[in-house]
Amino acid sequence: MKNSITSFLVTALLPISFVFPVAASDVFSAPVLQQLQQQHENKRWLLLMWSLDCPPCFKELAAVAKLKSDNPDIPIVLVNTDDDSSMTQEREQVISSMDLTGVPSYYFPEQQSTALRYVIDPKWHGELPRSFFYTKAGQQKGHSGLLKGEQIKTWLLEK
Amino acid sequence: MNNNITNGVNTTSTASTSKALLILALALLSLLSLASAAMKMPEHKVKGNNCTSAVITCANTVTTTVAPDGHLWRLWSVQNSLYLDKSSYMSKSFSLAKRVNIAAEKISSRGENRPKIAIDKHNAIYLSWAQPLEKRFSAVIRFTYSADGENFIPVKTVNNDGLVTGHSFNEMLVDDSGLVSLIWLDRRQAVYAKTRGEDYNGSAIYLAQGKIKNNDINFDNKKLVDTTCVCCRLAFTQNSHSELTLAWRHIFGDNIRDHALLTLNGEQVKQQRFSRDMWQINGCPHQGPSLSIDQTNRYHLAWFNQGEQGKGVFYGYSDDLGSQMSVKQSVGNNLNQAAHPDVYAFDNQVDIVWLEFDGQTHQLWHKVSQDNGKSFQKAQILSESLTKVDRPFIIGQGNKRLISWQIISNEHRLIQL
Repeated sequence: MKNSITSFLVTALLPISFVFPVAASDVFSAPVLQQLQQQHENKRWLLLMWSLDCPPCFKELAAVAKLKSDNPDIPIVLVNTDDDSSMTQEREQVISSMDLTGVPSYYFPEQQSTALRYVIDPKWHGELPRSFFYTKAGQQKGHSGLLKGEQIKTWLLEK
Repeated sequence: MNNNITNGVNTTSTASTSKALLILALALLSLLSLASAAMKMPEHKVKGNNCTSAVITCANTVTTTVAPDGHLWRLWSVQNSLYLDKSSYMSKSFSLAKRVNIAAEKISSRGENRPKIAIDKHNAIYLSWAQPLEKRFSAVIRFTYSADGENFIPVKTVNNDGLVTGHSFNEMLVDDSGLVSLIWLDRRQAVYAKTRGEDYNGSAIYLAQGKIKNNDINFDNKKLVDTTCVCCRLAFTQNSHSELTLAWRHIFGDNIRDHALLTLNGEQVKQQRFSRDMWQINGCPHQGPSLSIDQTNRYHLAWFNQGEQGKGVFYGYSDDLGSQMSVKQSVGNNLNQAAHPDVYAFDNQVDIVWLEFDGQTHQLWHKVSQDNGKSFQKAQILSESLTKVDRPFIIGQGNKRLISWQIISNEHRLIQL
């Protein structure tokens, strides 16, 4: 009985999760970063930081949405750096309206932007957009400023 | 969310099929409901700052100024309203906060973008701010005035282009004659360029000036500078000849974000580049420069960069309106994220404050020069916070110096130097 209910539930939930993708971002933290690194072990992946106060970030988000549409498995993770709960709704609206709900998405919790920046990279001073390229060996390389979609694609999809 | 539902089903494993299906149906309904809620707003993840009060600790930013009579005024924004209080300069005892008596509207007040205040010799109050509009990154520059501190004139929109585009990062000065001068970052040139099918990188800086007459004011608009960074604060002050002087983060060539200054001295406008750190970034540094000018007309500048030729916080001075700069001096520890410097100069003393973060603690650092910027004494930590902080500002009046430092959701600190 348990197995049949479980399988029915999985079957039932799959289409629902497709119709209602989980739009809400999750809280970013040091353990989350470790989990992401483990999930992407032996793979190239990209961590992209953005803010509602950063006009160039929106160009980058649009490029990410296009890349995700063309390459559903492209390993990109978004992190919103606005550590202000009054901006939550606007943040989620952007993710939804820019067709980014399929991209793993996180946000800095209240008052934690400086501390979490330090966790990710003490040399990052908050300038945006900020990108962190992770190599297959798990090495991190930071880049400040707008990336073009082609740059991301070339690096991430290169074998 | 999924875990909760899975757990719920697990507890039904020994129940009858009908009961299981009922619970399953309820679970699915719950999931639909939760998914729908998540699409609207993830309220279950909202926490932290639930400030609903007008108290100053609820503000993201606090702007302070010293009136000619020596009173210290504070201005902040909470929930679409502006609030004011004041104290005698060195006192920490403030008057009851008063809401500025104008209709509620959105007010930009976080990071580099915040309301401004000036007080004249008659204790009249001048306020300006950026009002965000519905379209993303669009805003208008707003202004109001009160002769008696109670009644404010109808709010004016200062930018005169009528465009729904960016007008933000306003700075304001009021001189002894009552001339109000406002500068801000303005995206109208980008709009005009687009209609011509051309590209325009960054913003422009515009100046508006006017005088209160019959409790009203009209502003003209004049473009001062093209192609500036779009997200860094401006510095705005008068030099020793009472000439308006501004400093900003400029875009040189292929997105080199160095700094420039301009003195409006009636001669041909010529901006001077004063940093050459070669930070190439097509993005938002979110850090503008600081400028203070002493009685000898020496321009003291502090700035932040992450360029190939300079990473960190720097200080330098110029005795010829920025044409030539002293050798820049490094300020603070770049490895501890030294950032957001503010400088104040008077007589031969130069004070610089900035922020650092050591992984746990936000630190307010200070160092002082007694030889007009040639050399500085050893830096020291003045104050610390474990919670989020705003940028620090030195509020000077002659040889009196206070640091204003907002500990967000906690307290507004005033530290005497």
